[in-house]
Amino acid sequence: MPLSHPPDSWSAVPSPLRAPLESLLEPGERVRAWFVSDLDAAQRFGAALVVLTDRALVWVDPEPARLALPEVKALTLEDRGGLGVLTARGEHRPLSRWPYTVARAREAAAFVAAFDRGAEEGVFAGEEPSSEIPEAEAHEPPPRLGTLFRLLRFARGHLAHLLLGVVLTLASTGAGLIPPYLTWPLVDEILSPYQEQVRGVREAPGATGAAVDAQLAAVKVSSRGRFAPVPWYLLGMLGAALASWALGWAQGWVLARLSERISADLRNTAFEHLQKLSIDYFSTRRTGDLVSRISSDTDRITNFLSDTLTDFVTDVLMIVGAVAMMFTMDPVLALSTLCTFPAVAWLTFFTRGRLTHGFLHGYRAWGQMSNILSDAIPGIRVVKAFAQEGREVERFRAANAKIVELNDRVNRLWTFFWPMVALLNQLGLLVAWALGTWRVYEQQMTVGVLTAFLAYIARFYARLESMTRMAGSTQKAAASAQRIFDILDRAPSVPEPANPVQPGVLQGRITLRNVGFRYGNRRVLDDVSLEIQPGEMIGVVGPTGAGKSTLVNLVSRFYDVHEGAVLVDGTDIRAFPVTAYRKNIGMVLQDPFLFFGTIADNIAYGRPEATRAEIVAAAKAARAHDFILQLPEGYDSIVGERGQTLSGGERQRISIARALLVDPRLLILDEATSAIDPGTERQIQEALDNLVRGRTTIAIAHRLSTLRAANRILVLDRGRVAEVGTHDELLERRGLYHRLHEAQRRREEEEAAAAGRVGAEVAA
Amino acid sequence: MNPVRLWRDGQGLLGAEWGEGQRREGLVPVRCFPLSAAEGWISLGDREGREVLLLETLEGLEAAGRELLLGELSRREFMPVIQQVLEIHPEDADPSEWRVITDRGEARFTLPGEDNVRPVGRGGYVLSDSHGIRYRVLDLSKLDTHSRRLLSRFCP
Repeated sequence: MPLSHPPDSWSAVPSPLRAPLESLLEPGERVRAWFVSDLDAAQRFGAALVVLTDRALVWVDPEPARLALPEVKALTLEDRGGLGVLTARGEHRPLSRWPYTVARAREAAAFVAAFDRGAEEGVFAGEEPSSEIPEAEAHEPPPRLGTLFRLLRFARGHLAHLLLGVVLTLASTGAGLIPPYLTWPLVDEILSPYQEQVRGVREAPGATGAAVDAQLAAVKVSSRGRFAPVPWYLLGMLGAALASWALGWAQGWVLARLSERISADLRNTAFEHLQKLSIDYFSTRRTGDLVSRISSDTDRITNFLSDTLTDFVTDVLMIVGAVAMMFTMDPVLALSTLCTFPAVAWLTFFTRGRLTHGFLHGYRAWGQMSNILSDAIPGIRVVKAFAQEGREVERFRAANAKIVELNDRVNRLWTFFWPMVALLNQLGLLVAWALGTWRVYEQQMTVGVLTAFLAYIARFYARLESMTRMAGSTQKAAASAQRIFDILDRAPSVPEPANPVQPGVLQGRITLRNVGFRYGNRRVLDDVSLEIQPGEMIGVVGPTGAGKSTLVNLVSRFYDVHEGAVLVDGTDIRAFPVTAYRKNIGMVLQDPFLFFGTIADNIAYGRPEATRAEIVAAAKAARAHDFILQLPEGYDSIVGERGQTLSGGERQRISIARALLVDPRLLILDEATSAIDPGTERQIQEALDNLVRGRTTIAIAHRLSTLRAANRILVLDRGRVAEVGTHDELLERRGLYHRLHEAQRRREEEEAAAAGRVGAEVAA
Repeated sequence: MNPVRLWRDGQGLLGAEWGEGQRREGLVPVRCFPLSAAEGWISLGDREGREVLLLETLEGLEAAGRELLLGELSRREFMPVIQQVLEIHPEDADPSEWRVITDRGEARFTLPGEDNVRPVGRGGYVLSDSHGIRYRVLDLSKLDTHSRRLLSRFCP
């Protein structure tokens, strides 16, 4: 064993990769770091391992190779369009390269960092560096099998309810099995012997009319005793029927209540989980599809639980009961009449999978249609402005046609399926009649047993048929359940820390330490470092796509950094519970969203317990009080969808009041003034000045003039820090900020000149 | 709360004197929370809508001033309170024609749809008709059975 102290996780490297490498190590050589790529040297998918030891870089790809460390001057990374390359460079030329896909980019960066650390220290003798990233809670994805059974988790809170339902089901099914059982003695002990006697008299040799009549009358009188129990049998049947009715009623009611509760739980859980998912989940999903999952799919599950499942359980019990009865009466006949059962079972099994598949496709198409609705309805102004009503209708038609087509496909299979089952059941009944008649003829069976038997078998097949009809709604429910568990199984990409540090009220010192981030394979931020003092206002400027919004998204923890760390008051923000941390953040966005509700509710959104005095004070500081009082219902006016229409500047001031009311330590202004007309800009600026005071602020702005209050300005360019400094310093440096500033000044002058011309023309 | 003295000024608006001798005329009163807290939170502003004085409660006013203020407010407000619903036609489709008895007499109006009814506080509702006139239901449970039955579709 060449490794003196192998780090723990080294053993986690798959042994087919690890073993050949270990054999290459020299005695006493220690593994410092390793990188498992997902591409081989020929850039084909596979696996390749590079190991950094205290003496060399070692790898097998496909031949064993070794580069002594003094030869390696640097390890570099580059990536483009999804492909990354790790290169070991010597004094004058690259020595070796290892390709990887960006999926492994973080590991590659960590590997390079380990190399650089070693190079700085000059030795490679240190221990494996401990990970500084706070550990996140693990989320095991549950298995996909038996999606419907996973609904049981929602029944847990209603166990007593469920138990009552099951007992009632059992009892009502049992009551339903009694009547046929009572027909057996009625036929065999009363009706058949009596009929024998009557036939005996009628068919007696030499019997004449009058004598036969007299004898029949005598038989009638003598059989009175035999018929005495008949009312009891009939009463028994009536009692069973009544009991079955009452129990069935109770069972239906109990189970319907239960399923209503389970599906409400399901909806709540799904929505609650949805609220916990991070922003990037929503940026890749479409609203319509999510809405249809939480509304239609849960509804389908309720229907399944309340109707289908109840019937299904009753059917299963009834079938089991009937089969048991049949076997106790005549095992041979029972066995032979059930001969078509395997065929039905196979048919059901065969169809089931295809049905689920088909229904799932149908729902996806349904989700697509909802997406068009949720696009076209909120966007109706744009649709009309560009006169694209026809196109939207066409889009909707096409989505609808897709639904019809997919459902046709399922229905074809489905409509063939259950008449087929009905036919098989008829055949089974035929077999029972044939065999039964034969056995009565062979004197192995009485007519009474056959009558009761046929009653059971008719029940059996009726239930079987009803069960197979359920296959449809069962598979629908399974498909729906899968769509809901799709949401529930999704772990938030901003995970909660395993050992949370409570942030309490933060001071507001923000440290960006070598922050890197990528969207897919596009690198958005690269090695951004900055220290922001408590109470300082930092303006962030840069060309479009420079990573400004990403930077604030990382600070607000909408996303987690891929490299480096964001620290607040010296603690990695990944160590804080997400919501407790965000309570310290206030945010004013370019296009503020107002919820459907009163203005007072909207201002108090971040602190629903705020008093009226606090709400009014926040509105005053945000310069919103006066315009709110102009509305007919003042602070009670409804805004948001279907509500009072407010201008962009008015909505912006409400959102500033909202941020003021939570009194955040960290404040993020994302283009807060860009959509505002110059008339209200002054008021917004005053409102913002009130807001910024005493808070650590990161403000993104296109219009550089809005950053006059900023202590320092961070200039980003293609994901990197181009310049940092005060407005004056940056102008003096004559760099990117200077160019942006000049460009904007020229544009404003041109606009002013144009406005002046227009003004002159109007005056003339 | 410092005492506030109110009077009617020369132009028929309000004049106010408060604090240490501060004094303004030409004031217009507005309720900040006309639905959820109508009794307090009255803002006195100038004719351009800029607030001059905000009264959180009316406790600082003497009886005459209070009467003057409430009179001035009610002159500027129109929000009839529905006391009885006589008829809604049709009962299960939109829009619907309403015939109601309010504190300002019997009224007929057209309600465009369920979206024009919003709950306010406990048991209270505000209905906006097709012209934007607002009608209030103060407490649904205090209305008679017939009215409640008619309202049940709109006031769940």
